Amino acid sequence: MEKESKKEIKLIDLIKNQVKTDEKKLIESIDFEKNNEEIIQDLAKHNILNFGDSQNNDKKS
Amino acid sequence: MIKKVDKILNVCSFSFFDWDKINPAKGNNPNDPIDTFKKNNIIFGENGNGKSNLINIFKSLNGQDIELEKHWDYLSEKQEIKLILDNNSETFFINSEWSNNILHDKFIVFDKHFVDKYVHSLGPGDRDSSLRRQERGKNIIYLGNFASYNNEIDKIDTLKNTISEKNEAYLKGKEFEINTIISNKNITIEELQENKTKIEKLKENDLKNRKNKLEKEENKLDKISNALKEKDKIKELLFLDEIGTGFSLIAQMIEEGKEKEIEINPPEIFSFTTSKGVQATLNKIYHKKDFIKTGLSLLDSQKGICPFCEQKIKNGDYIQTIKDYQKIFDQSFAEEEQNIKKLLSEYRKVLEGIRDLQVSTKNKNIWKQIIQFISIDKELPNVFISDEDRDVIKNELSLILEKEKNILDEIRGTKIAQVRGIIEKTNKLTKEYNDLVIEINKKIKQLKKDMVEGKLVVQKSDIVKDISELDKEIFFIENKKSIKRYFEILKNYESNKKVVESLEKLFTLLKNKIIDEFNNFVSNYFSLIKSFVKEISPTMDIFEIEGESRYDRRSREATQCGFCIKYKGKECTRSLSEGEKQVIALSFFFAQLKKENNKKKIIVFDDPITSFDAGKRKSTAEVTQRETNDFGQLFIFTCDPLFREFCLNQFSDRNFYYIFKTKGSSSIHYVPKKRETIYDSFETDFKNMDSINGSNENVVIFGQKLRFCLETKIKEDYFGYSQDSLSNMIKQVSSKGKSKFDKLIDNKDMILQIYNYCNTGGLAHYPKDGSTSWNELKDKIKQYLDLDL
Repeated sequence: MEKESKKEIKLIDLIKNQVKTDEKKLIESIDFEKNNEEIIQDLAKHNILNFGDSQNNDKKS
Repeated sequence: MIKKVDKILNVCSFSFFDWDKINPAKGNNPNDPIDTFKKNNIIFGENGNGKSNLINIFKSLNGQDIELEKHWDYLSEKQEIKLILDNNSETFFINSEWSNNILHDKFIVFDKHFVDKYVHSLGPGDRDSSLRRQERGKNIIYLGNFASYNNEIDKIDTLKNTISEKNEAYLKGKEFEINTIISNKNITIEELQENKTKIEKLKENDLKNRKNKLEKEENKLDKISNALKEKDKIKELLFLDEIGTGFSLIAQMIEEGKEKEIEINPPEIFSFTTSKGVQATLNKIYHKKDFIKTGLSLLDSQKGICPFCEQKIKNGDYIQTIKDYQKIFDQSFAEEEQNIKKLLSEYRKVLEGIRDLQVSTKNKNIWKQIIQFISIDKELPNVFISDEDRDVIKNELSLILEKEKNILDEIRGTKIAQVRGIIEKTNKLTKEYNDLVIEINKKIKQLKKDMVEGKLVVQKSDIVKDISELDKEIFFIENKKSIKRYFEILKNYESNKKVVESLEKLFTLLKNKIIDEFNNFVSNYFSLIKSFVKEISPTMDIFEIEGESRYDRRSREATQCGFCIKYKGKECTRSLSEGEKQVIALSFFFAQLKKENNKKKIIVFDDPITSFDAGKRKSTAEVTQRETNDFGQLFIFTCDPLFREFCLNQFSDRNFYYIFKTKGSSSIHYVPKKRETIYDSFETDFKNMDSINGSNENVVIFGQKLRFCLETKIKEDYFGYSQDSLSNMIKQVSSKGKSKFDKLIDNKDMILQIYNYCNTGGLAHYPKDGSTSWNELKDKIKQYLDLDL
C-alpha cells in the first residue's frame, strides 16, 4: 500500500483557481500564521487595504 | 521516544517496580547490549499480569482521563512513576499528576476502547450509535487536517469581520470629523456624497464671485419679501420720469418761409459785424445776377470802386443803381441780423438748459420707494455739471449778453470747444439716466405684473433655493480641503469594503471546499479500510464497508460519520464473527495510522488479535510492521505466544519484554535474544543473595526474578511455548534432552510448590500479613537453584 503523503496544502490553496486575480493577490498576501492585526498591516503594505495611515506603501514613499 | 519506565511505585498492580533492578544495564549483556525500549517493542504477558495497567499509564500520559489507582494493599502509600525519554528528559507522576506534558497527545492506542469508540460495539446487538458517529467524525476532522482547514476558514471569517469593523470605525471617525464641519450648514453626509462631482469642480478663485452673487441674491430676497408683505404699495408704485432730451447746437429756423435746421455756430455768431453783415447779405443775393457774384467777390478789396464796372464811384454815377442794390442789401442785412439774434437766443437756451439741469424731486421720492422692492445694481446718476463747466457756461452766457447789446460788434472769447464737450458729456449723462429710468420702469412694470399674476411667491422660493445653493457652494469652496480629504477616505472605505466582499466570497468558497474535501477524504478513508480488510483477511473482501458522512462546521455536532458493513447490499454488522469484527476494527485503525500526519507518535497495540486464526495473526504482524514503520515508537502488548513470535520474527529491530506479576507487584522484564543470558544473570544474583540486604523491595525484586526464571525457562525452553510451528516446538523440546525432562518430572511437586509460592502463596500477599520473609524467599530460590533446570 502506498504511503500517505503528509498533508501540507492549505485549504485556501485549493480554491485559488476559482478566484479572480485581485482575490488571488489577496490570498497570497495573507499569512495565516499571523494575527489579524499583522495581516491587516501586510495588506496595507501591499496597498490592498487603505486606512489612510503610514501602513500603506504609497504613503510611505 | 520512551527510553524506559524507570520506576513504578504503588500504581495498580505495580506496587514496586524498578527498571534498573530488574533489567540489566547496558553493557552487562555482551550478546544484546540494548537494554532499554527500542523503536519497536513487543511486550508479552499473560492476562492479569499488568499489561493493561502499563497501557493505562501510557493513556494517562497521553492526556486521557484514566485513574491510576493505588495498589489495594498500599492505599496509604505514595504513588510514583518515573519515565526517561530518549533525550534523557524525565517525566514524573507524583500526587496524581504528571510533572509535564511531554507525552501528551503522543500515543495512538488500539484497544477495546478504540474499537468501541470508533468502530463498533464489542457487545452483542449494539448497532452504530450517534455518539460513535460523532467520534468518528471528530477523528476524520483530525486525520484530514480539517481542524486546520477550519482554522483557515475561521481566520478568513474573523479577518473579514475585523477588517469590516476597522473599516466602519475608520469611516465613522472621519465622518464625525466632517460632520462637525458640515452640521453647522445643515448639510448631510449623503448630500456631500451626492455633490461630489460638483464640489470637485469648484475652484477657490470662484469664491469672491459667488460671495458677490450671494449678496445680490440675498438683496433680491429682501426686496421680494418686502414686496410680498406690502402688496398695496406695489400697486401704487409710480414710474420714474425721464429727464429732458439731449442738448444740441442745432436750431430750428425759418428761412425764406421754410423751417430749417441751422447749426448754431457761436464763433460765427459772435463775429457778426457790418461787413460781415453785408457779406452775408451779398451771399444771400449772389445767385440773382452773375455780375453781382463777381462784384461781391471784389467788394472787400476795392472799396470806392464799383465792383461791377471797376470805375470809381463818383459824381453820382450809377448812384441810382447802387441805391437800388442798397435797398436790396438793407433788407437782407436786417434779416441776417435777426437770424443772428435768434441763434444767440437759441444758444442761450441750450446753455441755460445745461446750467439748470437737475433731477426732479419726484424721481427721488419714487426711487426711495422702489428700492424697497426692486434690486437695482446702479444708483441713479447725479445729473449736474461741474463747477468748471458751470464757469464755462456762465462765461458763454455773458458773451451772448454782450453780443445782444452790440450786435454788430465782434465778440471774442467764446469757448465753443469746451461747450461742445460739456454738451456731449451732459447728453451722455442724461442718456445714462434715462436708460436706467427705462430699465427700472420695466422692472416696476414687471413687478406689478408678477404681483398680479401671483408669481412673486415662486420667485421668492427660487431665490431662496439659489441662495441656499450659493451658500453651500461657498461653504464647499471654503472647506474643500477637508471635504476632499473625506472623499479620499470614502474612496478608501469603498475599496476596503471590496476586500471585505472578496473575503466573504473566499469564506463561502472555503466552506464549500472543506465539505468537498471532507467527502473526498471519507471516501478515500473507507477505501483504505477496505484495502486493509482485504490484506488482513482476504476472504472478507466480499463485504462492503461504507460510511455515510456529513460536515457542517457551524453546527454543534460539526461532523458525523456513519459506518456499516454490508453483504449483498444488506447491513450485516450484527452477524459478523468476533474475528471479522476484529479485522474490521484493525483495518479502521491502520487506515487511521495511514492518515495520521504526526508520524512522531507512539503506537500502542493492546492485543489486537485475540480472535484471530494463525493466518490473520501473521498478516496482522506484517501489516503492523509496515504501517508503524514511519512512526516514532511501537509497543505491541500481547498475551498470545504465537502472535508474539510472529512479531518477533517480523520486526528485526526490536526488543522483547515479559510482564510478570508475582502478586506482590508486576514487573517488566527485558528478554535478550539469547534467553540464557538473562537466566544466568538472575541466577548469579540468586547465588549472591547472602551479600544482599533483605529489604522489602529486594523481596519483591528477587520474587519477580524467581518467577521469571521458573516460568519462562520451563515454558520456553522445555515446552517450546513460543515456537510458531509444531516442528519448531518438537525441536525445542528435544533439544533439552531426556535427562532434563526426567529431572523436571521427578521434581514436579517442588517446581509447583515454588511456582505457587511466587504466584498465589507467600509472595502473593507480601508484605501485607508478613507471610513471607527474606529468609523464606532465599529458601525457595535455593530450591530453584538446586533443581538445576
